[in-house]
Amino acid sequence: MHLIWHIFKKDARLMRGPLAAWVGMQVTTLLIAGLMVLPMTVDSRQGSMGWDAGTGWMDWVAGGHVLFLTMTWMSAYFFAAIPLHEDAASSPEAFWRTRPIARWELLGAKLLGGFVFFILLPVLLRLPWWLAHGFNLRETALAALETGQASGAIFGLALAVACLTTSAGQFYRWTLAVVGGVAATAFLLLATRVYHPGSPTLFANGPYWAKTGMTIAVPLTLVAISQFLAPNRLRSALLVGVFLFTGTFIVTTVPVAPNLPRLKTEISADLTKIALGEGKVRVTPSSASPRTLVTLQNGELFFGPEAEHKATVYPESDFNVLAAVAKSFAQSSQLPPDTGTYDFYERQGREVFAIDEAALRTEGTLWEVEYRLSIPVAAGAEIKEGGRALRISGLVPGRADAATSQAIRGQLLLQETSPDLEVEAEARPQGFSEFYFLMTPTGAKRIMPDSVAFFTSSEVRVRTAFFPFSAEESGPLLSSGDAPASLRLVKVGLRRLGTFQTQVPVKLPAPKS
Amino acid sequence: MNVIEITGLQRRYGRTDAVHDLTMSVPEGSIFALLGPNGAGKSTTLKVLLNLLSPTAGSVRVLGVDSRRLAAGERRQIGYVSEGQQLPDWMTVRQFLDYCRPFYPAWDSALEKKLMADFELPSDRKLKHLSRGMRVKAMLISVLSFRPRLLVLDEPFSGLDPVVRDEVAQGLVETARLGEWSVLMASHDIEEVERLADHIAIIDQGRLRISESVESLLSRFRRVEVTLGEGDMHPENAPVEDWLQLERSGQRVRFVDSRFSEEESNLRCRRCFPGATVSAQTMPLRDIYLSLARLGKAARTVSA
Repeated sequence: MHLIWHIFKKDARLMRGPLAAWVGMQVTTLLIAGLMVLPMTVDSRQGSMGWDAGTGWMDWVAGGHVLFLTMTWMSAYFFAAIPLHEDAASSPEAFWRTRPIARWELLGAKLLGGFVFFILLPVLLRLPWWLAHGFNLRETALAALETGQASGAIFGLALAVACLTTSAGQFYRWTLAVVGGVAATAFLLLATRVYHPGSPTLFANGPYWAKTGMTIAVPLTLVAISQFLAPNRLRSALLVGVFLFTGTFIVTTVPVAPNLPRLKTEISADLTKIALGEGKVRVTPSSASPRTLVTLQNGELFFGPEAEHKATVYPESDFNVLAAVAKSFAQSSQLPPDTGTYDFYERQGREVFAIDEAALRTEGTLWEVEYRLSIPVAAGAEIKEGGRALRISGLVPGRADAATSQAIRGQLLLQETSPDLEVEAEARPQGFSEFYFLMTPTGAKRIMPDSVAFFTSSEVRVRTAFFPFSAEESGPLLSSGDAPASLRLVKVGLRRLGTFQTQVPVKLPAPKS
Repeated sequence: MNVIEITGLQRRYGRTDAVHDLTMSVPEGSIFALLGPNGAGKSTTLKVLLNLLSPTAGSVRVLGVDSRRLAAGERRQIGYVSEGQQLPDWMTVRQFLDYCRPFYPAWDSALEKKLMADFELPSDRKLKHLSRGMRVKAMLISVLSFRPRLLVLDEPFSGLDPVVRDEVAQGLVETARLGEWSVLMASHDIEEVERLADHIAIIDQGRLRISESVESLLSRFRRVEVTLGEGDMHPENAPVEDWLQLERSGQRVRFVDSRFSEEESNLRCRRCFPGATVSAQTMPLRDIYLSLARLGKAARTVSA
């Protein structure tokens, strides 16, 4: 054993430079991820900074994160080959072969090095992140497993290719051949429509690829081990080819989860009480699928009591802003899939609805369906004028995939009026409403640092909303008689999502005398 | 006892026979030189006996063990230095020796220090920054320091300038005095081989031409000059197989007698050239080697 440790220490010395560079890349990735999950507020009332102006830099940061992430994992593959070529298993000129080093000792040292450098090290580097972001013990273990799987898959592939080659140049050529071969095979399988709609795509998430990578990396590692212990390049090269082809075939043709067990998401709400500050939307996804760390959390939208913010735009009437805060909500691209879009506002009156599980199983699986679970982002206002009052709620059918949406539609609903008001669709009271959103990335919740670029901004919180009625633009808000009033041009802005506007026809009848 | 026994060894690269039906043995305690031109199969033979390459046919026993089953235990007794050997070039000489040391329980640190001093190697310089001669010296220290029972050297003098070559050779000679070890050395540097070796095998085209002690070889090869007398037969018709490179210049005939013995050779000369004057001179190893090399070349030409 002491010789294994001795060779490992030698490899550690050899890898000082590459490992320092690799750690640097990972730390940079983590720092960028940390920057991206910092809570930030963009408030359009603060002046000239528009929605886009306020968030454009985030795209650059996200791009940098993806760039460093890609560099990190690609360099892991090439760095992993360095100690393997230092003592090449297949080279008759290799130094170790003329020394009293048993093959199993060399293999042990290389596997130990691979584990410490390329599996344990990235896990340790991410540990502070997980602890800082509220991962409990089980979640931390799962996160470590996921990270270990991803890096282990990379190391396994590098190990297999490196043990068949004797130099860096040969390794690069074989890598090109492997990548080209896998891509060509995948393309062929897809082009011949062997592809199953339930199969994962390249856009499947990290945990999926970590697991898939491991299913290929494990047999490849076994091939590498056999090559170390009983070298036969032809046999090993054939086995690597067979495993890669099989893996590619499985990935592109076999549904990952043909029988999803108990996949159901429930959403319950009583929207009629939202404007009163009593409403609550509860999103309760449940799935027997293994939970990884980027999971859909149970979420609740709380519509709290009247906010402190008050604005008086229309001199004759006060209105109070109801703060609406979405709390503890995060989303995942993994759970649950949905066959359509559920616009929440269309579901009023239904306390609970569930995703059609049967349709889900037949029409697609986890990986194919765009997840469009509508999460209402709401705000409300109450307007009082004399003895009359109007409570109004703005509902934005937010979506779990809203982080990638450029524009979403808004809906302004009258939730409740005072008894002496009647709302008719024909009336068009002029008004102007603006929503201010606080976009808080989900970093505060359980998000992997490697996934930040894909999942930030998925938590949306409505900070304030108010309905300033512009007398100049709209004339009297609450008209009487036949004069129609309309709420016109409701603007809603979501950071990174763009703005949208809608017109809401409302007719306010004359107050009863 | 022989430290190496090679029996019917064959090694093919595709359709090419690198080594063909090679049978020879290396006696324990000898400094055995494997001579031959480039591509003769010397390095291949050494690699097979160290199990760096597997034999196509035949067998090789090293220290009594089949070369294909050489384990760490045997390798602790074998030192190998090759010009083409990969080294951890990123290490300094000191790191390199520190790395090698734990593999050998019998590592002699005092000998290592002595060799470092004798060879004047800069311990803090990286291997990749060493000259070719210094690299060879570093490799030699790394194998001599554990006092191997068998030292295998593949072209240790290749590419070295005369001064360094002399230093390395001197080092080997001095070190050889320090221990009881056998040396197998592949080389085409005949001067150094003559200086160091006590046994010689010559390989050509993968085939063994001769294998015997240097003493025997030097004693049985003579350059013979004959001044023909009246009635002497035409030398081309001389019926002696062992006369190599027979050439005539006027009345003088020169050849190499490859099986010289005072009485026997004299007798044969008198039989062919009764009236001639015969003189025989000893030959340096270089000339013997060249004679045999030409013989092999001529044989190949004929067979072709």
